[in-house]
Amino acid sequence: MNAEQLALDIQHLKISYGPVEVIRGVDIQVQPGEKIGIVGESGSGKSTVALGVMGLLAEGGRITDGSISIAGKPVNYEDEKRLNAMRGKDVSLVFQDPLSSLDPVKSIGNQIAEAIRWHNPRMSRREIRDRAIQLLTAVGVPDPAGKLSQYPHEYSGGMRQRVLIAIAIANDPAVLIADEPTTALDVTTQAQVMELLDSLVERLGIAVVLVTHDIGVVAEFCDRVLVMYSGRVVEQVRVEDIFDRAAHPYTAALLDSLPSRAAEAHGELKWIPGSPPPMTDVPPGCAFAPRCHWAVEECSVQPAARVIDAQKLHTAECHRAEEVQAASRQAGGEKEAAHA
Amino acid sequence: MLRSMMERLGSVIITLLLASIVSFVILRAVPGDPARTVVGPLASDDAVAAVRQQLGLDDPLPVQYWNYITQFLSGDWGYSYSNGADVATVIAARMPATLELAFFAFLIAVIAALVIATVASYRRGVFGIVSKLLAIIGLGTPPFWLGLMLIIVFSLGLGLLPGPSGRLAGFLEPPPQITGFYTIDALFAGDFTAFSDALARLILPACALAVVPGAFLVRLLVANQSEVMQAPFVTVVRAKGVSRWITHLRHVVHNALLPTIGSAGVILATLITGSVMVETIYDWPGIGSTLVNGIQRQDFAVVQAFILLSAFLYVLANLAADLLLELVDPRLRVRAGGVRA
Repeated sequence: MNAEQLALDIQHLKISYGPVEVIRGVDIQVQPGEKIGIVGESGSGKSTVALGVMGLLAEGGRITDGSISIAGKPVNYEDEKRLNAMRGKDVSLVFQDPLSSLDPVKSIGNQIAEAIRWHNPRMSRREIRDRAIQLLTAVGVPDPAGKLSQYPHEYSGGMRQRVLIAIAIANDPAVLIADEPTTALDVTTQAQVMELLDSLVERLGIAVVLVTHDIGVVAEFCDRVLVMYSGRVVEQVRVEDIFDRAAHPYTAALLDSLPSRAAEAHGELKWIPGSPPPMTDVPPGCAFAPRCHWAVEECSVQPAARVIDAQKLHTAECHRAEEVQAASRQAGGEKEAAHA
Repeated sequence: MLRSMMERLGSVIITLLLASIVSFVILRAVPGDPARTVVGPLASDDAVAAVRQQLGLDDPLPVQYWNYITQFLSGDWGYSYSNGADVATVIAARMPATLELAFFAFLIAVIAALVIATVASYRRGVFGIVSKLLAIIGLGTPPFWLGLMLIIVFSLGLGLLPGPSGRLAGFLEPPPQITGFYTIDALFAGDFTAFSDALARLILPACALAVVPGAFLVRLLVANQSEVMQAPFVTVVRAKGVSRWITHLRHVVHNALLPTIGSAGVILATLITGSVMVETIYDWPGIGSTLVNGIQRQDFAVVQAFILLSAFLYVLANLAADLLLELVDPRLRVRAGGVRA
């Protein structure tokens, strides 16, 4: 893979909050226009990666190792000026909660204009206004010209999320990071917003990193899935392979605990016993080993990096990846047999 | 809309009524006899009794209260027991001096607090700690002590500013009254000598008076700003590429400022209580120093009028703050022209 072509290239990223390392060496490569999903339970570090790429880590957080390139350009996270020029232009963010993601005392038009003006200082007010209306139209807000002067509290949750998407695509970024974009919305609105996002990024060729705990959303929207656990990517796999080719026991367990799948396979809801280790005390070797029924002795010594397929698109950090994958296949096959 | 206005008016009237009753009772519970003040220490007990009778001081309290409040509402605010002056006239004559002092103190407090609080919450670290310390010291410093210190340092020590001797140098004529503010009236009259003298004499007392409300505002604004800084929309604004400082000025300060408007009543209260002491020290011819004299001489009418006026201003300030908030906060703004689709 040529690094020049990648929309986003994260190499061996490590992030610490104070003395605690929360991201422990993460590699993510995203092709232009590709949609990847990062899944994992809360605390796995998926949101931290997102904020780390934006250079907007909460106070005390810092990148301690690794490198990040966006649209082929390596990012220097010490240079605030360059960062400001990059944010919103090369990479943009759609945030979790549309209710609190807009400034309650500024009009919608003002908040969209802010995203445009900052990167186009030469644009006239008229041009900015036209562009804002164009953006609102693109995200399907009815009567966009009239809505510019309204305030966030006059918008519904779904409409606010559309405004946030409009802000995020304002400058045609190479990468759009969406951190739980639909979690706060009801299911119908959720589907509409994801559909909108899908059609927009498809048309504009924007690469998307979707951070979510919802594998269902990932399966419908993404090309590739990265599963995170305790600050590491434990498996990456093409979305069509995730259900019957999962090669990491954690991925398999996550899938098993999906309500619909669990009911189909076992008639009852399955869960993963135990809880992730605290980030202050991550065991050596594989962090999932203490909860893993596949675990063997060497798991607690060091994690294994396995490449499953020839194109290097499917990797898993597991000593017994091949066996786990075989089991996944069998489970998938059984289900298909049951369906037939 | 009409209903909420009526409710507000009702609560205003009740507040004022309660303030008048409480102040009336407390004043009369203080030991001492104003009739004695009127006739002087050498008069006979009979003379005192006669004056008591004449002033209605022997009537039951409810009767006295009723008489007072009906006269007050009809514009007769009584007269001073000590010098016979009409209270309404005295207050009207002295009010502008207090208003000018309070206005400048308010300006200084708001501007200084905004700058200190904004820099403190933006830079945090050392600035944050220093601002917190300043706020605690400021809230705990008695204005009269600070007033004296300012005189000692800037007037007696450095000789930069005039000493505590009223609003204008003795040899200067006050400008013709338009607003009652010497500084503004002097500007209207084109009298720059009077303007600079009036301004120079305002600075020290206004600073002394500004410290308590200023410190209060610093604490409030720092707390509000650090809360707003945690809000997700700040991250979203930063993700647009807006620098941290501009984000802070444009979004954090704006959001932090709105709830501050609601504390206008408290600010006014600190200004009123502070003015009493500051005016006494700076020989400022306002109503604060009148009150001090009134209390010493048991001048019921003077003190009572001051208290009622303060209560009225307090209620007015709160009402104005509510209305202002509805104007500047889009979430509270009542939309004209009905529902917008």
